[in-house]
Amino acid sequence: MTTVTMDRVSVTYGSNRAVSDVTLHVAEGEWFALLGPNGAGKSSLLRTLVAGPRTSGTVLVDGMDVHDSPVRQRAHAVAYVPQRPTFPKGMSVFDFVLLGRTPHMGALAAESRDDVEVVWASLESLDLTDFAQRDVSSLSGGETQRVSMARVIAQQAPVLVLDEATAALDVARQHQVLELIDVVRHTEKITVVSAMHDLTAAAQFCDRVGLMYEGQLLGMGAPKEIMTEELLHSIFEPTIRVIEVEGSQVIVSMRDKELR
Amino acid sequence: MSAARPSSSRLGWWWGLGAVVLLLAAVLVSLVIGAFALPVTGIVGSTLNRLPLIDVDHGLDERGEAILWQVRMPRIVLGVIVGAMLSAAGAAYQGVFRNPLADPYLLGAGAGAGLGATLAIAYGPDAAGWIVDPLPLAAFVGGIVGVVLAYLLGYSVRSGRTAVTLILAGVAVAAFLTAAQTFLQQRNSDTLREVYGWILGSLATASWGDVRLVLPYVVLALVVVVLGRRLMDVLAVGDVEASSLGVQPGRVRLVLVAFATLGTAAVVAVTGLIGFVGIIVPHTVRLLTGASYRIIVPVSIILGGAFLVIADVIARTVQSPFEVPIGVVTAFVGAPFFAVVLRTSRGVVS
Repeated sequence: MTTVTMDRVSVTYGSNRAVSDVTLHVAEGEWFALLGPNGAGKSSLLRTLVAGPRTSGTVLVDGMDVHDSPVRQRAHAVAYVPQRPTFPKGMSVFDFVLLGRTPHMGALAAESRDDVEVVWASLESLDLTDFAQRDVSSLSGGETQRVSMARVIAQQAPVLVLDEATAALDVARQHQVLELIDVVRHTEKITVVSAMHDLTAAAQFCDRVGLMYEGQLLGMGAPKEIMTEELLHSIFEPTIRVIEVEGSQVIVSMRDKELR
Repeated sequence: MSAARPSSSRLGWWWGLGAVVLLLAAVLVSLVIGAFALPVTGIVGSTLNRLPLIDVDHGLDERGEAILWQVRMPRIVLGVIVGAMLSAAGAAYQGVFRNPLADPYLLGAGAGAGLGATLAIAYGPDAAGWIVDPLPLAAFVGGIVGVVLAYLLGYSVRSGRTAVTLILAGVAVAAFLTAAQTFLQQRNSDTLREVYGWILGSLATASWGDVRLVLPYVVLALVVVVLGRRLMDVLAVGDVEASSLGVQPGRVRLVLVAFATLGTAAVVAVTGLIGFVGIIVPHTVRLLTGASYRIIVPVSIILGGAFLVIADVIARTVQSPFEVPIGVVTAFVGAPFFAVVLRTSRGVVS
């Protein structure tokens, strides 16, 4: 079943066309990643899923037009973690995760006992209960990613939009967080739509990937079909090599021999 | 499970309780102290006597009763209301603008009220001939107009209706209105003293009439700010994330600013521009309790009332029989206290 449908979506900032006529579908439970160089339009396209600016086209989540729906209803369907999430100074981890319950509360209501229990369950599932009263802005990179995921779990939205959520982490941490997202998406049955820079990680974790270049979606499919040297050369550098290690592609950029 | 693992807002109850105790103590001290000393037993007895079915001998003579009920009590009640309102409005402004330096006068409510009051004092008709006193009315309208102008200016900016745009618009409007007010004040030097006195703020002429005048606006404003306190926490993660959590940042800002301004304009209209309360109280509470507005707002309201009552006691006793402007006291007492809190806090500034 299709969860996310984008139909001829374009995003224009002034005279700059960031996204051009993109059509794509993401199936329920799938992890779909947008790949491409900086400025390819990945973030702009992702943000249309949370009602970010869109010049034309429609974006549907579970049949609901995200630009035409009340903001609360959209928040029930889509959770979003930006490139650099904001961790307000002085806010406790508990309070931060509680923000995920916002769409489930009345506009002016306080949190219910239910909301509190969902928050504790999310904290527990990510081993964060000891952190509940810690200042969310004082945590390490890996810990904040877990806290972000706890908020996503608490929000209980079936679709998660992740914009380069692991960009600031070292190799090992990045891997841990991606594993964590994979675990969460299976246990919570979440569909993940993400933008990723690390092509090797995308090949290992994602069911399908889409290659973006200058606002256009050049190709879409399983990592094995899409992440070929031929296609990657057309959007990155000709120095890209695709190697297979243990059945998965490893993408590296080799230094030009003549320059060595 | 939830008993052992409470929502952190429950920790706020202890802060709230402490603030209530402080408020009650401040009120009692303020009732006792003054040029005419009132005994605690007399105050308590006379208060109990006002309840139905109770009749105790409190020992206050007629003069004592009059001072208690016609002079001191309305002044203290007004002080609690004004302190609570300015603190709540300060917390609301700090929350919606994600800026710890915001105060209730940020968007021009203070400058607008100042201009309105100056106009009324310099050019207004004699209050005696009017059904309503023109001074508070002009200050109230001026305060509201100032913020409306700031909002219109902020919204006309094409590049984006962000919190920062709105703050800058407020700075521009406030500067303009203050310039106009200063110009008028200098041209009408015969009323300079009166205008200056008004701008510094005072509770000296407080009456039950003032209390009745401001109470509806303040109650309405406080209810909205208290109900919206959780949304201020959501705004803390920025507009894009807040929107992804189901909140419309622009609308929340508009509603909270509108009601905070309404209450601020009402209290400013009767007491003048009492400064420093709106910035120091919510900030102190944040330093003590952490950054959640679920706790900051209610605790600020109670503590703000207590703070202004204490400041007023100092204002009317330190140079008795003369009064020190309460705005001077709030800054003079508030600043060193704030410095101590700042130095000993856990460092939650923004």
